[in-house]
Amino acid sequence: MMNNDLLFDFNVDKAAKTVYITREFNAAQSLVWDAFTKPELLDQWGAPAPMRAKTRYMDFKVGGRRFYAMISPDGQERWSVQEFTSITPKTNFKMYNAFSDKDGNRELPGSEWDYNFSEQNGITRVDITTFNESLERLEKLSEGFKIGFTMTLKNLEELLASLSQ
Amino acid sequence: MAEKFDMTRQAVSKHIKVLHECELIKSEQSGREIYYHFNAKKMQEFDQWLAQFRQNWETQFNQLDQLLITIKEQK
Repeated sequence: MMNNDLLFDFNVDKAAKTVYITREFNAAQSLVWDAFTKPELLDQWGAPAPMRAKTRYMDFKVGGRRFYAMISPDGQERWSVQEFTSITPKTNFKMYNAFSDKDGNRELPGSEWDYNFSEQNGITRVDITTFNESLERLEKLSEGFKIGFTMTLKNLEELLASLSQ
Repeated sequence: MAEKFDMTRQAVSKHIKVLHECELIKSEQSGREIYYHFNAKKMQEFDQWLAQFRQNWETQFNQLDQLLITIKEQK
């Protein structure tokens, strides 16, 4: 592996209903910032192969939007709209991401994203935090279990089975 | 069931409704009765969704490593 020395962290905090992603890059902060905020660069890495990303437009300013698609090898397009809610050049930006139709009509709710950039000794660290509605939905559920059901799911299954006899 | 968990019947109904919405339990109508079954597959699906989410980011970051090398070489 070429990037063994570069940090990659992925943590799910169920209590905070949040996913934390951290990655280091062997490049200056201004270049990494550009790679995350300029459409012509984003489209070159912003979808996991064999998918590809295509930005129809991007207005990187507070209140501005990026309208883009993830395209599968067989040509299927999954459109999303990102709305930028806060920008501190080179160090932080926040956005609200939601799936949309091909005309940009959003399917709410979406998810909140927070990107932080910092550099040390030529290595740029990016910390990404995302609060996801669907995760929250599932987490509400597990909290419900903690509060209301002190038994495990397995025990619940047995109980449901016994009740249904 | 309400007795067993020391909850009101309404609270139990609410929990069951949310579980059902998230497909973590499946229901089966039988006359006037509704039977509920635990859906272990759905819980695995959520774990798989998270694993896929992580894998997607890892793949994209590796792509970005390559792009950064290319840009630095051009300079």
